[in-house]
Amino acid sequence: MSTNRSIVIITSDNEKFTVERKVAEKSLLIKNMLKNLLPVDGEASDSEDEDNDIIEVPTQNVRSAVMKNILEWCEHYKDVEFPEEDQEDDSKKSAPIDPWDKNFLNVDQEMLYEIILAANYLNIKPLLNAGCKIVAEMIRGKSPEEIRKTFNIVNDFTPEEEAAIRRENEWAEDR
Amino acid sequence: MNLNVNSLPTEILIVILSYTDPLTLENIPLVCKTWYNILKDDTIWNSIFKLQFPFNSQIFPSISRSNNYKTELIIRSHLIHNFKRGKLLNNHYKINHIITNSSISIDWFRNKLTIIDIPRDTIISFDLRNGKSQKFLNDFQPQGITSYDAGTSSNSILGSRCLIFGRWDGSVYGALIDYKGLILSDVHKWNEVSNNRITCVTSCLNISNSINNMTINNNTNSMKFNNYIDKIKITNNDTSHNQLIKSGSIGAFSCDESGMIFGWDIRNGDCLFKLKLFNENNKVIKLQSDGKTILICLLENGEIWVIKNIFKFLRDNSIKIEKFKIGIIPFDRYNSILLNLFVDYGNETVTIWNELNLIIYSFSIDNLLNLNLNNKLIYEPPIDTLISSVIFENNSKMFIKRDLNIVGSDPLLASIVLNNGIINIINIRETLSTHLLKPINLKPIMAKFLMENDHINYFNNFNTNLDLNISPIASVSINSVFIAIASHLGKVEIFDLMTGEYLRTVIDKIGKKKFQELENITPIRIFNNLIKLYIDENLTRGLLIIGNYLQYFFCGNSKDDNNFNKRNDKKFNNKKFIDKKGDSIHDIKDLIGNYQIEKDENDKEKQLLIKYNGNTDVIHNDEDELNLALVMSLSMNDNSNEIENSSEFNPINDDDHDMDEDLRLAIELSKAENYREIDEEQWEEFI
Repeated sequence: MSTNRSIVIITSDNEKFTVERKVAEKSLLIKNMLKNLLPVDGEASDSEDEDNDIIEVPTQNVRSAVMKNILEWCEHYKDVEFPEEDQEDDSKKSAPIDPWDKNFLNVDQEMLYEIILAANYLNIKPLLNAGCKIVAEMIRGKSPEEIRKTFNIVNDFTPEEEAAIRRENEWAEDR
Repeated sequence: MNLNVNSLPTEILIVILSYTDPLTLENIPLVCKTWYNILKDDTIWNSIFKLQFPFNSQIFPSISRSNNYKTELIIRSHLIHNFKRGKLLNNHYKINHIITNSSISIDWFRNKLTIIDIPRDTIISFDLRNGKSQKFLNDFQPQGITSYDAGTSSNSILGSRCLIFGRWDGSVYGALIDYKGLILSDVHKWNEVSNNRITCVTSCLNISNSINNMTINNNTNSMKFNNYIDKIKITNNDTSHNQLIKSGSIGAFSCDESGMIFGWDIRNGDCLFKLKLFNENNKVIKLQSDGKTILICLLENGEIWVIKNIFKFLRDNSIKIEKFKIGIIPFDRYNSILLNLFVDYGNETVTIWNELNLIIYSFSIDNLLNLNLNNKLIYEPPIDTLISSVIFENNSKMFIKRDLNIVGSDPLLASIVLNNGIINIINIRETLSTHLLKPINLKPIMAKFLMENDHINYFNNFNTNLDLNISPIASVSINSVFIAIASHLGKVEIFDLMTGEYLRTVIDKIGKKKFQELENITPIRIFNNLIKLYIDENLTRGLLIIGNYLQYFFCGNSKDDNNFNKRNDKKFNNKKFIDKKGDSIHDIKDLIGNYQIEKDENDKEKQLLIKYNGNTDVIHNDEDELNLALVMSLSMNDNSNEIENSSEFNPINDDDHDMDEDLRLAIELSKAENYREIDEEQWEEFI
């Protein structure tokens, strides 16, 4: 059965992950790639391809440590159908982060960014959104100084510039 | 690899920022140059806005009336946040007057409620924050009136306007009402007398005497939310300020049975314009005007006419006054008397409605000759429903030209309440076409209380008793962001106007006891009229009126409240207040404007006095009269004696005599001094 066929994902550091097709297809990038290579209900081609079973998908931008995480996420959600993008718009804003996602993304900042970048590259929208929400959560309710501390950002304004921005942005200063 | 949040591509940063609450977003530019630069571009704010407020259409009313999304996003978020999470302040007051079919106006800027109850011959002025009834005036109206107008009641248009009465014998009585709802002079007979019964009168309203227009500096960065209310300025470009009450400009119209139309100077009651435009067979039953562009006439046969150039004619007699038919009310002619008419002067349309449909006709002033009566917009309620009421945005947008540069392209919304309780929102500024007008909100708004048992029971009993087809919704009020819905049991719920999102219940229920009390006093038949609801355009507050109970609510965080009080403290300190120039300079101008008028009146009386100088008796009489007038004007001004006392002994006692009370007092005193001067002069001359 072509839907259960295994896919081999090759990461940037040449590690190979063998996963179910439906897991790999959580990534729209891989899904589209496979659509061209392997029509899902192509019975005829199915029998032909039986032999050369291994389909390799190279993902140059993702290293194995990240891919491991990504695939763990895909594995967890393999049976969940995510709504089309334009339909979810309404609830997107207010929907809280799924507790499983929150726990899953409870990693160090660098890994979090790598996961976000990978999710963006592999086109896994729900994971990307969850990641962005986690980062947004880290920003929420913080003062500029606290934000800088949280994200290890250097204040690259001169005091004059900062004063100028404060002035033009007066409403921020009052709270 | 050393990843930092700033290593993420900009588009991902934007997604992250859009998930952040707008209140935190204000701080973001201060973090570092990267973030500052991302947020410098308003297109980013636009996409964040779209994520935060997923509206159905690109058209939405802008609360900030600015041309950038940043301002709109932040102000809107603040307001919504306040309604959703803000601390609720809920005061209720009882007054000795059942409010039914009165003309009600609320000056949110000064927290003044003015009720002009013509049928009961009463005027009440009321302070919403402390519940002080400031003035009560009874028995002012002339006998035998056939029509009257006290300004609009459905929109909080404020400022000076006039109270006008038309009588069966053709005379017109009127009085000037100042921005606080106080009558400046007695109701007196105006100069021109027609021989025919007066069929209708109207008092003009326009933007130049309204404070509700906001002229916010489009450069957001200079704005501060907490000063936001201060930015809501009284529109008084010095030339147009209080235009309606300037002598020589028309502030009111009347029309008599013979079709003669009169235009009035409301300051001295002179007739400035008189023209026979219609004939006896087709009486004018309704007039409406903004006092600066056009006059709309509704005739007995359902025709709507626009009269152009009246105001130009006053300045230049060579300009011809013209009239044009712009629409016909297609309903039964007897219905048309009860017909509802709304004029959008800014977009040049007239909206009429009854329970079956709503029609919008356009009158483009420059293109009246080529008007096509078939060019109209129609809204029809869904099958098996009827329109039970139509409520327009509670602001002065209808006097301002549509400004497409404003975010959301400046629509004017109306909420259509159907008899099954569902509310549709339409934009009456949609371009005319042959298509039906469709609601612009995502889904119709439905109040939560409609599902509640006691409301259903109450309403069913109520409805079967009367066998009337009325809506389960008692009253609705909308502004640019919110819709407030009141039930027949006095519950008020607030929803987001565009998304229909439920935000909060601000008033749960008026006590049963009070309701019973009310039902004893007033027959249930008019019960529907007893509940009235108003919300403010600029802050999260509103007022619910049920018979003689007023319930004032304000949502905000305590910080805002503090600032609110602080601002009042500031106003006590006159020096500081004046230092802060831009802030309330308009307020002062407004007062000065009113003072000017009062002074002019005094001067006139002074001249009169001098005229009669030869005769001692007359002078004494005049003096008596002057003193009487002085006493009257003092007594009219809310508790001025009290204030005088308290300001002498304990100047910073409480916050109810705010800045404008103080100024008024000062004006009052200086006026009194003026009188004294006159008196002394007179005496000197005599002795």
